[in-house]
Amino acid sequence: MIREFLRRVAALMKKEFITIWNDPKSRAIIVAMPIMQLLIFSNAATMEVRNIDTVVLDRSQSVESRELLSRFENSPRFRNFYYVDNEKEFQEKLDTQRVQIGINIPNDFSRGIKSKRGTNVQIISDGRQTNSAAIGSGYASQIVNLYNAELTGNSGTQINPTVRNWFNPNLEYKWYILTVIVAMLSLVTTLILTSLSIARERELGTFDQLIVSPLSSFEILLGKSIPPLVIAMTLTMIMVGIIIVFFHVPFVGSIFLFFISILISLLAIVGVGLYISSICNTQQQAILSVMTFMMPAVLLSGFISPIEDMPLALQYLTYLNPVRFFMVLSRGIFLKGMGTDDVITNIIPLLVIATITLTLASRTFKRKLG
Amino acid sequence: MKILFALIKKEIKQILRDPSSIVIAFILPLISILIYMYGVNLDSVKVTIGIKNDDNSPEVATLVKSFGHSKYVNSINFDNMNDIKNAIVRSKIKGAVVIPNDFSSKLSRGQKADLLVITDGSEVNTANYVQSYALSISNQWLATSKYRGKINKPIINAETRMWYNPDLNSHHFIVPGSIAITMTLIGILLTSLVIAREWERGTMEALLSTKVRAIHIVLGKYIPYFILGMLSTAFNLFLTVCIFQIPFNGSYFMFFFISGIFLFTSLGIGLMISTVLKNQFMASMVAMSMGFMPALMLSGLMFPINSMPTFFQYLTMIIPPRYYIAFIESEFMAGGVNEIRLANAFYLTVLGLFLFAGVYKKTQMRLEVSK
Repeated sequence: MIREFLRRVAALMKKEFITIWNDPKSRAIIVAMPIMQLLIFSNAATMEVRNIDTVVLDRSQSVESRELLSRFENSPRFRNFYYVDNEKEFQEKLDTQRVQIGINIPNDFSRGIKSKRGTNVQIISDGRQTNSAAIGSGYASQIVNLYNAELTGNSGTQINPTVRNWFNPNLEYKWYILTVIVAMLSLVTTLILTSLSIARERELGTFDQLIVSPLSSFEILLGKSIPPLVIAMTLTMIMVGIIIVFFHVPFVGSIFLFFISILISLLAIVGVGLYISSICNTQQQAILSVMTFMMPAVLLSGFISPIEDMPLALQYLTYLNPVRFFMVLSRGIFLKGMGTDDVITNIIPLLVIATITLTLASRTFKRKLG
Repeated sequence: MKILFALIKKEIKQILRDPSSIVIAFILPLISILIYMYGVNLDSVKVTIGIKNDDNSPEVATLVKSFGHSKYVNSINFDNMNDIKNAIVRSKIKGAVVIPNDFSSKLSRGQKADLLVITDGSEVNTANYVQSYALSISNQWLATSKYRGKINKPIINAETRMWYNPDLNSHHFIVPGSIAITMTLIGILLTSLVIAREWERGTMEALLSTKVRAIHIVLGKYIPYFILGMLSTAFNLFLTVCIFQIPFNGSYFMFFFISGIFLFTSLGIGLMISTVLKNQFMASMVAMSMGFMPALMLSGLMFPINSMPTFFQYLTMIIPPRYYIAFIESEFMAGGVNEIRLANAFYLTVLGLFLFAGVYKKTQMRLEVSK
């Protein structure tokens, strides 16, 4: 009995593997595409702001103003400087996005400093890139404040902050984005693999043959979910290996917990993919449904802005989002060494999602016939 | 001409028969704008932090209170470092402020008082918010506390201003930018499947054995999806400007004109993928990896292109959404800047024509082989 069961499941699994794996082009796409993206995105995507180009309108032309500007020139954050002598050119440089920041020094700058009366410096940033503008003008104010501190002799009452960034002492953006990218790439691959699998058979008409075969719906479910799970798991582990070996991101957690968490996260995503596939008649419907699921799932996973910052209704909605838990687990175990009980709290919702979606998917296998 | 019309008619019928593509052209913009409006916030992010106060002077108690009153911070009081560590690992708090026991005595002596700020470095952005909130709240407190007389006033006042978006509202740039992501998806995803589907189902062979020419097949695919895409663009604009009241300072004509060029380029990528791969599974994998992901990661919407290493800055030059996002943000926020319009429209046109030529050439080759 059991042997028969295993034989049938194995046969279906073999067929699934052949569909995905036999074509060398398809093999290359499954393996090479995610790895290439991992290498490109992790090197390119950073929210640190560097290479800031600046336009300067220095009406003071004094020793003090040149001293301040030289501090900007020596900062590694700032790149090219354009010195202009009128408002019009100043505005034009900002309008056309040749520069991201403008520094406007008034003509009484030097007098204000010498007389200790005080003076202003205008720092203008290009709000069309709101985020980098805010960060860039933060750097600029910092430079001005350092100069200030020197002018006042760095004395008097002040708060002297010591900042410690746990788990990532230099706040390397790469450490963060790498874990996010791995989760995203595994998500994309798993969803496409699973969502097309039933829809493709339905579109080509082979699904009816599968249903009238001796396979039970549970056996179909196993045969349809194990191959993509194995492929996605292998791919994820390869990517994690690349992160550790080539990017030198320290892995502080337990490898065993990490493995289990990734497996269950992927299982939940396999469930979602198969469920989508089971309700779609064509591959086009499947892939468009995947997009409709994936876009909110990625954007509301806490990757771009933190979940506790969202409106309450959306916060509750994220409990249905497997990607949310996937990200918490992968980052938590990888960078923070999350303990067993916290891992379990995050795994339970994933198991619930997996059970519900897989059950729903297997029920449609039988219902759709007839 | 007659053949072309027949092919367009056939394609439109196919679009109407499987309404998923029409649904997606209107549902996706709606979902995406809702998310970017309510779920994504890049300014004034609210964070929860822990506070451990070792200084029991009454003055410092008001500092702890001002953390509690800030609208950007939720604060939780802690007594020992171990609890703070556990809370950070669990992501219950994103950082902590530790006030040492000599804090107030140093301030009253006119010295520098140390303040320890801890952040959860595993979430780099949030860690930056924690840092800057902790510093600005404590400095504001200092400026109004009884120690304020001992502060040296800064001589140079750095007056920061943000042009084009004076309220610093990140939605004013992220929501228009999201139009580019949605349009990329719609353009690339819909078309990447169409030719592949015909090969998979065998209808392409049937088509090739008739008298149609390559130009008919290519235009017969471009035109219907162009119409659908433009309708979706209009719907996007309607949602952004009329429903969600994002300020639009540019010209509507320019918006549609350059969106049209962008759509032409996106359709080109999708058709190119599907002409080369002939298989819907592979076509959708590649469409995701070369369409959606680069649009999200390399277009400059989330991550500034200027900050990328030089090689990757060059790489972004072949990503059409990059030009479209630069155009759209400027059009929405700064109004018409001709130089920006012209430069971006030019690059998009070049990419679009290049892709069109590629699709045409590839289709022609197939035709010749089969005849």
